[in-house]
This record gives sequence, C-alpha cells and structure tokens, in this order.
Amino acid sequence: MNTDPQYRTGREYRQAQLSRTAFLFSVIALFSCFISIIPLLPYFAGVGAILAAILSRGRDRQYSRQARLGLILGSVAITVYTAIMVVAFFTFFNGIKDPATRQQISDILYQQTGMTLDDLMRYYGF
Amino acid sequence: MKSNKTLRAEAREALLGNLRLTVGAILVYSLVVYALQFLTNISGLNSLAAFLLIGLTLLYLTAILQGLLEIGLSSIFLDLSFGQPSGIRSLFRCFRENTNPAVILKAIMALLYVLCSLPAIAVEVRYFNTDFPSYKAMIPYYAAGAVTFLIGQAARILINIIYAPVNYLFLDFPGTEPLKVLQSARKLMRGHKGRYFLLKLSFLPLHALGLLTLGIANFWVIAYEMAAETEFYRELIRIRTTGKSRPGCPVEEA
Repeated sequence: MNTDPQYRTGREYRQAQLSRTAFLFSVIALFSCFISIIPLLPYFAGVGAILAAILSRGRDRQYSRQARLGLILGSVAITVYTAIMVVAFFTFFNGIKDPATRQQISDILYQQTGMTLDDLMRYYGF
Repeated sequence: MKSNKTLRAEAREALLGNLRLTVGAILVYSLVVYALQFLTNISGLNSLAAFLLIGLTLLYLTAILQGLLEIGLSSIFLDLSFGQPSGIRSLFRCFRENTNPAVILKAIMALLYVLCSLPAIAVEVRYFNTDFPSYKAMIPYYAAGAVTFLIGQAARILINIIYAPVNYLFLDFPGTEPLKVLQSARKLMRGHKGRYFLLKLSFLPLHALGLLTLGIANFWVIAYEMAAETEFYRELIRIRTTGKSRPGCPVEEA
C-alpha cells in the first residue's frame, strides 16, 4: 500500500487518504449548496467530510492541514445549506399568502400533480 | 483508567485502514437483522392468543439470532484492536464454533430484553383489535405506547451498560460457562458504569449529524463507537490483570 516515498509508513498513507477524502467531500458540499444537483447532497458530503476528518486523526493530537480544512468547510457547508433551506421554507410559506403568487404556484402544481395547492395542503393536513 | 478521549483516540487508530471491513460488517449485520425483523412481522394477526404466542416467540428467537451476530461483530473489532487479521466471515463465527454456549448466553440476554418489552406489549394487548372512532380517540393508545416504549428502552439501556463487556468476555474466555460470563461482566463493570455511559453519550452529536444523511453516515459512527467500546473493554481487563496485553488468566480470577 505504501508506494509513495513521501509517506514513511503505511499509517501515514492511510491518514493522508482519509484527510484528502475529507477535503474533497467538503469542497463538493460547499459547491452543491449553490449548484443544486442532488437534494441533500451538501448534508451527505458535509457530514462525510466531518467524519473522514475526525477518523483521519488516529492517535494524533492535531488534525492534518487537509483534515482541518475538510472539517471547517464541511461544517460551513452544512450551516449554509441549513440556512438556505430555512429561508426557502419561510419564503414559500410567506409567498403563498400573496394571491397572485399563490395562484401561480397552484397552476404549476396542478400541471405537475393534477392537484391544486389547496388540495395538496388539505391532503397533508394544513 | 485511561480517559474517554484517549480511548476514542485508540479507537480511531484501530480503524485506520480497516474502515471498509468494519463498515461492511455493520452493513451486513444491519441487513440480516432487518431481514429477520421483516420476516417475523406479525402485524397482520387477528387473534390475541396467536399475537402473544407467535409474536413473543418470534421476538425472542430474533433477539437470540441478533445476539449471535453481535458476538461476531465484536470479534472483528477485538481482532483489529489487537492488530490481528479479520474478515466479514467472523460475523458468523458463532454459527461455526462455540455455538451452544453462545446460544445459551444470548438466550439469557434475550429474555432480559423481552422482559423490557413487556410494558409495551401489555399496551398492545389492551388495545388489540380496537376500532378507534377518531384520531382523538387514539391519543391514549399513542400516549401509553410512547411511555411504555420509553420505560422499556431505559431498562434496555441499563442492561446494556451492566453487561457491556459480555460479548468480549465470551470471545476471550471461550471455555467459560455462560452464567459465569454474565457474572464476570457485572463484576468487571463495577465502578465503571458511569464512565461507560459518558463514553456512549459522547457519540450522540455524531449520531445526530448522521441523521442529516438519512442514517447512512451512522454506519461509520457505529464503527467508531464499537471500536471505542472495544478499547474500553481492553482497558477494563488491563486494570484487572495489570500490564498483560491479552488476557491470559481465566475469568474466575478477573
């Protein structure tokens, strides 16, 4: 496994692998907050980054540079995505108070699901 | 005794390079347990007697099988902690070797778990086949169910704490009688239950994070948690035997 001369031991190689994974996941998490391809991807990648960073430490007292970056960026991505979800939630529920916006949303939902917004909200007990 | 922080560090060290095996084993364990619970689902039964007889029997048998797999899972982590090779096959080792004592041990533990479930079962019996006229009428059923479930879970957690090292003791001292293993587990945990509880609590934030991933990341968290439990057991044995790297003395002297 230890084929790269920069690593003195197999242990260092394994740690470096996990640190790199943490950093990579954190970058994916941060980008996917703003480029929404797969729902909840920032959570998956962000939590993956945090876990990989924690596990890469082994017995060491300090995180490696990449692991620390992965930990910080992963946490930032989770926080940012949560903030975006909360704002979207409140925007939606405030938006549907405006009659014109409500009618627009209702028309789109009817085209996609065959149910108006009022039908859907009644169905889910709101 | 080593601090929980040190035990977690040792756990991370043991997991380096072994994540694939440990997470894979936990995944296989979860799939088998899920399949067992799915196959033994008795929610369609209309007769109370059948519900009690078949339901309790299936619950008991499932708990025993689950326990046997848990011993296998513990053996993987114990081997990795001592730097020994292991594989997914070890998950099913109780079905190949030492089966009878393992079954007896897990039968006793399963009985304790079923007893913990009795309050919730009593609620099910009380409201069995009841037709609820409205959602409001279901409130007492849900309330009673929630309270009894919580009581049962609290009792189960207490049993898990008291008998935490039972799987590891069974693996390390294979010739010992099951009742003796249980007794030794209780003795070993004397004075250390609080610390063990705090160790388990320290993983709650990671489990909460794992919920954001719909439980998928929890496989890695469980691997970390089980590795930490293994280090906790090693530390308990080290305190008892003072300095020996792998326990060599019989469990009667522990």
